[in-house]
Amino acid sequence: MLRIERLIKKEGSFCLGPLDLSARAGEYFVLLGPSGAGKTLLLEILAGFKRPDGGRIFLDGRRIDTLPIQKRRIGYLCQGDTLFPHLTVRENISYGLRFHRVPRGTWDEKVEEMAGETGIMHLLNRKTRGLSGGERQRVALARMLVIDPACLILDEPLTGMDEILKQDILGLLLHLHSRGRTFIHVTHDPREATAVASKIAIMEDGRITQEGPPRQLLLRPETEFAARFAGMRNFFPVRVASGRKRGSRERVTVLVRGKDGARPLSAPAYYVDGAGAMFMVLDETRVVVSETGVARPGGNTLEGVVKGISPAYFGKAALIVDAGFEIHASGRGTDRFPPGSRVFLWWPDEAMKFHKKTA
Amino acid sequence: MTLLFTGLGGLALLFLVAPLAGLLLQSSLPELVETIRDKEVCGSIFLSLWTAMGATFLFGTCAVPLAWLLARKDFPGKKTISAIIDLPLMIPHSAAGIALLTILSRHSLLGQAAGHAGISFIGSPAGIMAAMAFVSLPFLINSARTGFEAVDERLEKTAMNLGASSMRAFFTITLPLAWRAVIAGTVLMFGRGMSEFGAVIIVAYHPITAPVLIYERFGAFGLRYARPAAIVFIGICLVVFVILRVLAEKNR
Repeated sequence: MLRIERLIKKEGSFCLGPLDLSARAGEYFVLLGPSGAGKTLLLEILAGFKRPDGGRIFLDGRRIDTLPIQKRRIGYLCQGDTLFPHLTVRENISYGLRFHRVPRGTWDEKVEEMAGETGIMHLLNRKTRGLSGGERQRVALARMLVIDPACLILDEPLTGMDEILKQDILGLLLHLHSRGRTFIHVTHDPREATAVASKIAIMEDGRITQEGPPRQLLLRPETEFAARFAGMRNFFPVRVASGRKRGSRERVTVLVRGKDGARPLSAPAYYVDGAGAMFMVLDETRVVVSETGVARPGGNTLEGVVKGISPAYFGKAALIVDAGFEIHASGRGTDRFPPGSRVFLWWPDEAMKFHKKTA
Repeated sequence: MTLLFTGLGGLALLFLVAPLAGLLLQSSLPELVETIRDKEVCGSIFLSLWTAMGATFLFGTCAVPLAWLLARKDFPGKKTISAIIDLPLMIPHSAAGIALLTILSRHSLLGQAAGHAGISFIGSPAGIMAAMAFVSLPFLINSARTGFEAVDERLEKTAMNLGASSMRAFFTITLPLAWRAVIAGTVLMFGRGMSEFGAVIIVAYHPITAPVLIYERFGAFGLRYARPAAIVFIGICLVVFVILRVLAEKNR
């Protein structure tokens, strides 16, 4: 188990943390965040290349942040190509063995076992020059695993690979993970994250903003970033007025923060099921755009100006409408309005989903 | 364009080759044989070779670590240090010799300390080595530094992550990968040191090194006497360089 407590590191104007994080033994933990979030810095601190300004790190109950790099039992796969170019594949893989009191007689056996696992048996006697990106990553993984680290940390291991190769390497990672090691995998790609993770932590600007199993993050995002990667562009932190009877059909006021103050919406109380600070996700495909408004009971109507067009994930482009706050709309009527048009937006109550911040 | 550039390049090349060819053409074989047999000439060449080697080895072992520090670490005053390293390339070597004298002479602290240990810099091989190293160190430092900079730092980190100490990482990863640049720098430093005249003549006129001998013969007896010695020394230099280059090639 890897546990990080109150970790802080300042670098220039950037500040990582304070950060608390824990990954169970054998967990496939993915750290997801945009570039510049401090993910690599965190890994470098875990591996021991940088000293934190404060906080503690434990691996399997042992405090490791005070240990030298070589004693941490953390395998660190840096981003990019890290094979030693003057050594053969075999020499690359066996490089670490001499530092771990492995008798020289057993090196070949160990190297070949790992090469079998990673599917590079046929490359063992090659020089590293001329290997493909996928092959290089396999060699790097074999080199790391042969010294049996307790925890493996991977920094953007699929950078620069095409789609098919990514699938292959992700498959290999899952296969290697099934041996029961803890994996910490850093990426900026949500698809990569959800493909392998048993747990995801979202990191933005040096902090963990949300963590949980992939499904929970997809369905109940708590940050703009999490919502965006789940394909939700209409994500709003809202404040729900209290006082109504929970579960009633009466409508409650939902305040969305806009540029010039809060904008009121409304929703049935039983539908919101909560009060105070919440998150609202609005299904953009249900937002109807028209010149005069929609005369239908229920739902919400807002007036706004079309600001631009945004690509849609499923065929139809979305209008970006400024209605005091920005709303993406790709429902009926969206193709008729050029930027600058004054329009009315309407959506039914079912298009809104509310959730609370998980404790 | 290629034609024009070939023409211009050819002129530059001719300018380099012509004096050497002239030197060869104007000497006779018996003259050269006689010069090679001349004990003073042989002695001076041998002295030049071994002092240059000694200087390269002694100061190189300090210069290579410095080059690594400059390539890898950021510290205050790094730019100033880089400039200081390049200084010997800019200043007249006679001035460099004078500067060296101020710290190596018998009245200086270093000179006195060395004197107690039985070493005198002035007019001794030790002084020659110091003068050679002073003017030739920048070649090794700069070349090795470029070599170390070209080695991806992530490789060192990876080696350490795999269990190597930073020293082992240096010797098993960084140095082998920067080897060519280090060797090239060593060869340059050695060659530059061996042929140094200005700084050497000020620190140590005697024992006499080959460049000083050539100058002395030219001053005392004229071109005719200086020429064969010059040819022999240039020949020896070429042979040494070819050998070193071949060795360096093999080490690739």
